[in-house]
Amino acid sequence: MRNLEVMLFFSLIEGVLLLLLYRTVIEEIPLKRLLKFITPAYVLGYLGVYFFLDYKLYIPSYTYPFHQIVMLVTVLLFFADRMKRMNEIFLTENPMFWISCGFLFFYTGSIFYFALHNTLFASYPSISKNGWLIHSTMLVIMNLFLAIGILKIRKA
Amino acid sequence: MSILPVLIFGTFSLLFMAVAIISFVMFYQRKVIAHQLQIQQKEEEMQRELLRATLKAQEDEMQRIGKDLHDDIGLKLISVKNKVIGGLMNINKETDEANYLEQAKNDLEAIRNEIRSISHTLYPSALDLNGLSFALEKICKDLNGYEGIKISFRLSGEYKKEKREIEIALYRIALECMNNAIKHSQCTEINLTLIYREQDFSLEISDNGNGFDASDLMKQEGLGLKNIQSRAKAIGAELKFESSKNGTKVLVNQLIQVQKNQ
Repeated sequence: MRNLEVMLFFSLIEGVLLLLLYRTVIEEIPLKRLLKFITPAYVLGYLGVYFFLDYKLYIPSYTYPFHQIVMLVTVLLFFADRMKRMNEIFLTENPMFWISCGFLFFYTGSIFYFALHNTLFASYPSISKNGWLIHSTMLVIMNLFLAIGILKIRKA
Repeated sequence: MSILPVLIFGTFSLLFMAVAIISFVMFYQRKVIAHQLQIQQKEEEMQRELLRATLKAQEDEMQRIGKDLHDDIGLKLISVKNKVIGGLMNINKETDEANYLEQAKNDLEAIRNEIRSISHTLYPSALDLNGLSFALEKICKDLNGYEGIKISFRLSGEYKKEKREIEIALYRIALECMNNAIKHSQCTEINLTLIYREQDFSLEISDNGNGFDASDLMKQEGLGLKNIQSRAKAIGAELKFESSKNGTKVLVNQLIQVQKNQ
């Protein structure tokens, strides 16, 4: 099994866990229902994209962007939910706000790299390798935001 | 087209979009909260205005009744009393009729005093004429020794005459607190202190009675506490209750308005 396949398996678990997390955090009923629909659709879509589009590719280029798009939509649903409940709590005091900011930066920052990964690997192998730098930088940013979120949880 | 600019441009565009989304959400919340705060402040101000108007109407009515009692009924009682005195002069003082008239004269005097006292409570003319400090000092002197309770007044700092609605509210609060202390606390001492500072002034009413559960204020029915609270709220004063087995202390703190307006 290749490293990237392990990463894809890990991403599937990560995606399901994140969707379940946001289902508990989002309070607006229509958005909650939408997430209830998105969760199984995500799993099926993820497996479908992998087996129909990415399976034969040396480097998967569709599955991970698919995962990132679903996660971005979920994060945006969270922001939409918060915008309907603006008067309840200051956003900056809400740990989930910081955690969501982390995810938003991470997924928006690395989506292009993963979408173009296969082409980059074929045409610009050196850039492809250095491109992991983008992913790592985004991971650092995400973890910084997660740390702020965790600190806010401790304060709360 | 080279793939590299697509990667760089795409990544930065999306990151910029992420920053824009987060900024928008934060900015939007600030706007919403500021707007809500404004509405809340307006509602509070309206409520306070309504409370002020209600209290003013109540105060005007009390004044009218007080004046009527003092000027109208008081004078009529004096007239009746004079007639009784006139009658007493014309009959033999050893007769039963004279005794009845003497009794009636004394009763009339007692009723007149009672009415005077009620009318002064309803319409504290001393407050209008000489201000809060004088009115409080007077009421303390008048009530001192009532039911064996020592009532004292102390003024700290230089007295500054305030708006009438503020002075009358504080006067009523002081009366209500003294009334509570006399009726319910079984105290032997009540102290009123009026303290003037540069920016604000405070009225402190303390007694050495039984006290009550200050943490359960709203459940203390019949103590006129709601009345005290609404009067304090109407003038925007800060109200504090401290109570223990050793007594109760009510502190009303008010910003000096007259100086502020000048």
